[in-house]
Amino acid sequence: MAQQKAQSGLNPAVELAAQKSLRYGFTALLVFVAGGLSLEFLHLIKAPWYLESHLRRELWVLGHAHGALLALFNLAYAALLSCMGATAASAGVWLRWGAALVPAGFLLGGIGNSEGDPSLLIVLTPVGALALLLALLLCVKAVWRRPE
Amino acid sequence: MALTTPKRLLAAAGVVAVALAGWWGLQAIRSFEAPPERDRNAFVGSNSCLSCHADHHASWKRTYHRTMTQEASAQSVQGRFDGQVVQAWGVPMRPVMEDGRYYFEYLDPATQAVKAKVEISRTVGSHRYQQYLAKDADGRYSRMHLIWHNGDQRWIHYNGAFLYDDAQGFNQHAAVWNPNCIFCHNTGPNPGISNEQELLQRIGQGQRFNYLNAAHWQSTVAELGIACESCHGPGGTHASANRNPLRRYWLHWQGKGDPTITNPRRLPPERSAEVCGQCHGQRQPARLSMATEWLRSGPSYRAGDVLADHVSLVWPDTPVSVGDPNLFRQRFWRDGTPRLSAYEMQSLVQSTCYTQGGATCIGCHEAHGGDPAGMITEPNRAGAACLGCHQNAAALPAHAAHAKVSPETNCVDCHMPKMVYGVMEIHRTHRIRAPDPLASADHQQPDACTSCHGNQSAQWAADAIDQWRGVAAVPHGAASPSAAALPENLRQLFGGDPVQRAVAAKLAASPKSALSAEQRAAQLPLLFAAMEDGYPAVRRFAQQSASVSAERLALPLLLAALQRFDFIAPASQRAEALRQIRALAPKPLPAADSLGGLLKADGAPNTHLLDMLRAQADTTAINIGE
Repeated sequence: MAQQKAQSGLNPAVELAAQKSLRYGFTALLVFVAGGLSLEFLHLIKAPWYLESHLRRELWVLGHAHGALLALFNLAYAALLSCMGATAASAGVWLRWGAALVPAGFLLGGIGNSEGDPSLLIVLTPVGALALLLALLLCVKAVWRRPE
Repeated sequence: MALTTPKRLLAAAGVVAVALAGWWGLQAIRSFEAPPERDRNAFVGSNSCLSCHADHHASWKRTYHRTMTQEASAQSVQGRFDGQVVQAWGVPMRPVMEDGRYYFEYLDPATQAVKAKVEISRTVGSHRYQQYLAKDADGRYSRMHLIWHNGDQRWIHYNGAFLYDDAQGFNQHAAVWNPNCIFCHNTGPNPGISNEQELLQRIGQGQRFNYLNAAHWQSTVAELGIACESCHGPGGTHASANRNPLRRYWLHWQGKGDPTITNPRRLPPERSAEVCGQCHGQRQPARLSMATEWLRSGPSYRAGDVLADHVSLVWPDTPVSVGDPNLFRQRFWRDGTPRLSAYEMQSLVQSTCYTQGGATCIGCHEAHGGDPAGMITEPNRAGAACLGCHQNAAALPAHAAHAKVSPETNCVDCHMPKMVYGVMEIHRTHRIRAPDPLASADHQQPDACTSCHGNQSAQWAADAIDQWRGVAAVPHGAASPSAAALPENLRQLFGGDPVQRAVAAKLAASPKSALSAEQRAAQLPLLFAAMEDGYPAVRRFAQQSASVSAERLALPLLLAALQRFDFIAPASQRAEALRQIRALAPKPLPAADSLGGLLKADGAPNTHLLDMLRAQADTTAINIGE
């Protein structure tokens, strides 16, 4: 394995970050695409506890959409990491946390919610958004860095 | 240890979050320690409620409350403004639509030339029928003469909607929206009379005039129709206080009500019922001095208040300051049960379910659910809510005995019988109690038993109940001999006053009637006779009952002829239509049951007895105040 890494010519930290983001990206894509299917099923069976709560519907749709898109974002990050340089590797952990926390906040905020407000676990969403912001900041920093 | 950029950013975000939370927390604590005083005039409209209460907004939006008053538009207007002439009480009218605007043209009866053309400004109602309002330069909204009936899909002159006889004038029920309909058909109403001082001076000078024509209005409403703030109170303070998220989450966490808004489900039963009773209980200002205030700036009651501080409910003995002293008495049955709609509160407060059981409107009705027609779920429509207290009701002897022969009969059929007239329909009473057929006959009012068993007398019903209860042979002597002998519903159909006759006509052959097919057929000639009544409303209900029977008896030609009968057509046209109806009806068979002598041996109506009953009928017109 170590020999393979050495042969690839990539920084091991970059390769590790790319691998983690790939794992996260595909796993999350599977989870959130399946989640989308579940939401469609709730429409199919006209589940009143889902359809009759505007806020729950909105939160869960947001959770599904953000989860799937951020999974794709992780995949794109993994694919492009080698072009961004080693400094971007530290963004991976923030990106994965952000990609997990944002949809988790939406989904959990739609459980036990009141009519006008999500449940308190919605707080995960802004925390995740902050993590995403940091990840993007690190990526921006990396791509603007002058080549050594 | 130096912080990295991400950690610095996280720390900064944390500081901002803590500062915001501290600020909101402080504000929230203050608002709970000293709740903000509710601004009684801070109406904000249903759109403001939508952002936080989308589900309740959506469930309200489907109700007829919302569409009670609307600006005239293609979305709101239900009537057929197709240019077809509608003739009523000798005056031809033409509803027309031009460039998306709606008009009534009043035509000259002789030349058919347009004498007046009035633009429709607003609509009132959308469920059973829709009325139309025109606005004039003095800010007055006047009710137009034609209403569109949704069930019948036709224009009806409003004389046909009231319990008056045929001898009505074309303008008899002219009404102005500003000091009347505005109160209960809108949210945050303010009639805004603008020349009140001048009118008071003229009254002081001894002048006599119609204030409806002399008053000038600058009427406003917070929202057309019956919206959120009618039942929850003005929402300005609530909306403002709850921009603070910590306050909201604290309320969610506590599960307690928010003192800045009224939730009828959190009120004591009487306060809760009064929220509905502010409109579903005909009333007057609590003090005479308040009447002027109402006209100037609107009624003072807000949801959650003690209703009696603001209004006095109308009762039979409520004094009438101007006009017929019996005005209010006529709106009640003799035992004090209201017989017109919009008196549900007066009915409820006379029910032991309310006085002893704490029953309230929302125990059965759903402002945000169920069928918008009646605002009730199907189980509750059949009395499911009763079982909340009366779990063992089915085991009672009378209930068990009745259920054996008629399992589809439910609680409300017997304990809330249909005996209330309003908006061209017969409704259930909201005075919940056990049937007492002989007392009802004595009080000249309809009764659950004999309304359904239309071929039976009050005595028969009383005996049946006694037998079920195991108290047979209890002597009855309350009802008069004729009441005891004749089928009670048919006796009231011909010998009752206008409300009795209307109720009896509607129930004579209703779909839930206990009459057999033979009994329905035997009764048809009597319904045709009732279609000769001098009151349009009674004729219409008799026509409806005859139509139900014709349908049940599979008589399509008769049904078609019945549907051609126009209950407000000129007498000659009605007589011709009735002649055709009688010609198409099955030949009367020798009556197995003479219906207490109302049918002769050959099955034809006993006109002598009918005339005797008609001579007893009270023909007093009932001012129903719609």
